[in-house]
Amino acid sequence: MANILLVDDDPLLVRMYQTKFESDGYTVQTASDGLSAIDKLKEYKPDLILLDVMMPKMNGLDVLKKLKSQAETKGIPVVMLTNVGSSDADEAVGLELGAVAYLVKANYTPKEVVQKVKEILGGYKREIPNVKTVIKE
Amino acid sequence: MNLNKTIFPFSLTSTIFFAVCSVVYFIDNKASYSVLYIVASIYSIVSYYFFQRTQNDKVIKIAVGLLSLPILIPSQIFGGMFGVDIFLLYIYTTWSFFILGKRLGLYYSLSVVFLSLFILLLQLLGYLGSYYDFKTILFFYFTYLIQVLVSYLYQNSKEVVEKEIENNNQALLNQKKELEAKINDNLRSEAELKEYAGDLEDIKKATLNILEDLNIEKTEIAKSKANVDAILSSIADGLVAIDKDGVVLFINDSANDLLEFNSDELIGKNWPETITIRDIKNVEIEDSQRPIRLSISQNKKISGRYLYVTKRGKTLPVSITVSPIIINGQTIGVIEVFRDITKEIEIDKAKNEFISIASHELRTPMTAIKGYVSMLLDGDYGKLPDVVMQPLKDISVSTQRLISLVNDLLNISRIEAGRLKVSVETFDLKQLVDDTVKSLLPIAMENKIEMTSSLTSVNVSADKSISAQILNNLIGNSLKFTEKGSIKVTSVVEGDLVKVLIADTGIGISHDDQIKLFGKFNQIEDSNRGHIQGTGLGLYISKSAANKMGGDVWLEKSEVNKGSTFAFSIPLSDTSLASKVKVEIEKDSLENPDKKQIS
Repeated sequence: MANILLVDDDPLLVRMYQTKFESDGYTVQTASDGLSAIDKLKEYKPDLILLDVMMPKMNGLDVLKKLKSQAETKGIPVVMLTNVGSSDADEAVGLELGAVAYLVKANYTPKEVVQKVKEILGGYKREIPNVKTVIKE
Repeated sequence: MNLNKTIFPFSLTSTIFFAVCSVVYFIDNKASYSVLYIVASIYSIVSYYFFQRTQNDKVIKIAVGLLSLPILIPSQIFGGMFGVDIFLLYIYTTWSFFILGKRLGLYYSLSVVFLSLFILLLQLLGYLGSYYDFKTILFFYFTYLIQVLVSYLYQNSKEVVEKEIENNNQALLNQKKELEAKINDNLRSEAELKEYAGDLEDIKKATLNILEDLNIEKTEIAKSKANVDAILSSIADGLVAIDKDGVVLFINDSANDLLEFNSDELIGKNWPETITIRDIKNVEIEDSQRPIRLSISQNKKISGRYLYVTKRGKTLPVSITVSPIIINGQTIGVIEVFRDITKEIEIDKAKNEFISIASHELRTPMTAIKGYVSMLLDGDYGKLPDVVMQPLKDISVSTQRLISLVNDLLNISRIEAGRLKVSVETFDLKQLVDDTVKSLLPIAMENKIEMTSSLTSVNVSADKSISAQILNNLIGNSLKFTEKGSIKVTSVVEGDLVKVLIADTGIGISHDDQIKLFGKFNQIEDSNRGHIQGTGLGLYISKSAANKMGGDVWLEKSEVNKGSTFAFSIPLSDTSLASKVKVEIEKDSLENPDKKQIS
C-alpha cells in the first residue's frame, strides 16, 4: 500500500488521520512542523504528502514551495489539508504552487479525506504549473 | 432837478434890482416909483417864500404868477425906467414857464399880453394916460412875444428832455425792478440751493450710514468666512476644492500635511499635474481616469481607494471621495475629500489574519470531534453497542452545525467587509442545477420526497462555486422544510437574467415571517419544527452573494402548509448586464485585492 507523509502540528488530528489511513492500509509517517517535514523527506520518499498550512517554524505553503523547487521532491503529489480559511487566495496559492488538492479539514470526514487520497493516487494527475511565476508574489 | 435852486437866483436878483430901482427913483424925486419898486422888491421876497412853500401846488403858483401884474400895470400906466420893466417882465415870463410848465406858462404869458393890450386899448381911447408912445409900446410887445416864444420853445425842449430823462428814469427804474426781481429770484434759488444742500447733507449722512452698515456686514462676512475656513482647515480629512480645469481653489491643512506640501504651495496649481495618483496596486492612473476627472465627466460622486505620491515621493494609501460642486445646475468643480487609510489597511490585514486564525482554531477541534465520531460510526473502532449509535449521530450533527456556523460567520464577515471574492465565468446552468439536485437526491429519497429538475441548457455568467452554494442552500432549505410531496426545480429566462425556481410542497412561510426571511440569523420560529437545524444565515449570504453577481434571491410565493417557491436569478452570458457586472467586479477586486471566497 502507499506511503503517506502527514504534516500537521496538531497531535490529536495527526493521531486521527494516522489511525484512519493506517486502518485503510496506508503506511503513515508524520511530522509536526514544516522544518521537520523537510528533514524527514531527506530519507523518506512518500507516495503522497498531506500538508497543513498553519504550523510553527515553517508554514505549509513555504514547505510546498520548497518541495516543488527540489528535483527529488518535486514529483510527490501534495494535498493541502488545513483549517485555514479555505480562502480562495490560500487555495489559489496552494494550487498554483503545485498542490493537487486543497481540503478544508472541517468540511471532510477522515473517510472522505482517505477517499480523496485514493482518487489522487489512483491516477488523477494535475498539470504542475511553472513554480517560478508564483514565487514572485 | 431842484426848482428851488433855480428860482432862488431869480428871486434874489429881482429883489436887489427892485431895491436899486426904488433908490434910484427916490433920488430922482419920483417917490411914487420908488414906493412901487419897494413893493416889487417885497413881492419878490414874498413870492419866493410862497413859491418855496407851495412848489407842487399849481393853483397857488398861478396865483403867485398873477401877482406880477401889479408891477406891470402901473409901469405901463405911469411909466418907469424903460427896459427895466421889460426886463422884469421877461424874467417873470421865463419864470412862469419855468414854474408852470409850457402850457400854463403860455396861458399866463398870453393873458399878460391880452391884459396889456386891453390897457393899451384903454390908453388909445383916452381913458388912461400913457407914459410911452405907441411905437415904443408896440416894440415892447413885439419883443415880449419873442420872449414868450423863446421861453415856450425852451420850456418845450426842456420838457422833452425831462420826459426823456423821466423815461430813462422809468427805464432805469424798470431795470432796477427787474434787477431786484432777479436778485429775488437769485435769493429764492439760493434758498432752494440751501435746501438742496440740506438734502445733499442728508443723503451724505444716509450714505455714510449705509457705508457703516456695509462695513459691519463686511466684517461679519469676513468673520464667518474665517470661521468657515477655520472649520474646513480643521477637518482631519484632507479636503481640496478644485475647479473644472483642475486648478486648486482651496486646500485644507490636513490635505497639505498628508501630501507633505506647505499650506499655500498648492493653491492655484493644477491638481492632476502636481499630484501623482496610482491605483491600489501601485499602477499610475491615466489623467482621464482620475477620480476628479470621472466625477466631472460623469457628474456624480466617485469614491475609491488609491495611492497618492507625496512631495517627498512617499506613497500614501488614501480613500478618496470626489463630489461635483453644482451651482445653478452647472458643475463648476469638485470637492475631494481623502483620508489616510494606512491604519485601516493594517487593521484589515490584522482582521483578515485574525479571521484566518480564528477559523483555524475553531475548526480544528471540531474537525477532531467530527472525524472521530464519523470513524466511530463507520465502525473503524469495531462494532459499537446500538445504544451509543444515536448519541454519536447527534454529536455528529451538532458538530456539523457548529462547523456550518463558523463557515457562515466567516462568509458574513467577508461580505460585510466587501471582501467576498467573486470570479465570473461562463457555464451551463442546467449542468450545475442537475449536479446539485443529484448530490442532494439521497436525502430526498431518504425522506421519500420526489425531487426533479427540468431545465434547458442555458449559459450564464456568474461565479460557479458561489452559484452552486446558493443552489445547494435553496434546495437544501426546501428539503429541510418539506416532509412530504415534491421539490421541483425549473428555470425561466427574463431579459438579461435567468431565473431558477425551486418550488416545494413544504410547510410554507407565514406573511410575518416572509418579511424577516432575508435578515441575519432569522430562522423562522416554529415549535413544530424544533428538529430543523441551521444558522439562519443561509438566505442572507445567498442573497448578498447573488446581488454581487448581478442577480438576486427572493421568495417568489409561499403559502402556509402548501409550500414555498424560492427564486434565484443570475445574468445570462453575453448580455449587457453580464458585462456590466464583470466590469464592476474587476474594479472592485482592484480596490480590495484580498478577497475570500465563500467557504
